Amino acid sequence: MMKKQMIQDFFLGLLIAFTISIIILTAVMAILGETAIPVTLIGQSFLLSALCSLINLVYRSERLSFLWQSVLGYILTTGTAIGCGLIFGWYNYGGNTFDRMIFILLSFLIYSLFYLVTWTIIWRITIAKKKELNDRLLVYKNQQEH
Amino acid sequence: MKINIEQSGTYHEVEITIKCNTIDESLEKLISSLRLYNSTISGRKEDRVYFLKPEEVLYFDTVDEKVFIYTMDSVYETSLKLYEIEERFLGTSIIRVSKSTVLNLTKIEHVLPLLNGRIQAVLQNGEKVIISRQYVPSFKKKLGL
Repeated sequence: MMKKQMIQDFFLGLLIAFTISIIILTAVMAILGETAIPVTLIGQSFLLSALCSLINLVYRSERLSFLWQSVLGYILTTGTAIGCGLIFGWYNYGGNTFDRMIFILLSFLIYSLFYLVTWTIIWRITIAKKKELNDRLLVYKNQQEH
Repeated sequence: MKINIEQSGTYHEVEITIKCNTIDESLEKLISSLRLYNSTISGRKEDRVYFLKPEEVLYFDTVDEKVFIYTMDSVYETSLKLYEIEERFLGTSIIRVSKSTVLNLTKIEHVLPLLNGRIQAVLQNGEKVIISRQYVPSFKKKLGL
């Protein structure tokens, strides 16, 4: 049952990640003045999305705390995204080496910011849910005692 | 509310019939208390049989097709199936929280929502039990959410 759930989560994550990557790819190509997205780029995005979806399974871990899941998730996805960029030559769209380094640094910072914002939103929602659940649990236990 | 009591040697067990128009919150609590009243569960430990009260039980868990009863400081084995336990305590604070666990909600110290839609319940003895995604809605409904 757990294996089935993990597979479902993987495919759902893949769908979401691939959709987001296509949106980002479209935006980047538009900024670069390109009118079409090469098929190889779409294939590479799909591969990156599959890897990131696999990495997301770390959030299912029952041994790691929320903080360690977040840190590990960040390191793995950042490393994978930058690594894929280097392997697939995405940063070669820049001009000289300095431009490419700037491009890599910029994408690292944008990705980190995106991760931080997403993490903060999820963390705040989790804290609010935790308080609501525990407040209601206390009321429920008091009702059972009387 | 009228209470009728019929006492006779011909009755071999206590039977309670409730006649009502609708079941409101206070009546639900009464029914829940009646279900738990004088209700014990037998559990085996080291070749001895013990009779445990529901308020002593933290949770029931299935391991290798055997059902175990967990209290604050001990573990017992019971011949009851998990679905039988669930039915016996229907409407009480003892509810199913996963495929393999039935939990006594009054023994939860606090809960922590997890990223994957599940909830981790930390019990009064420090043990952690996971409320699976499938059972989170019924858990929340029990708390009145």
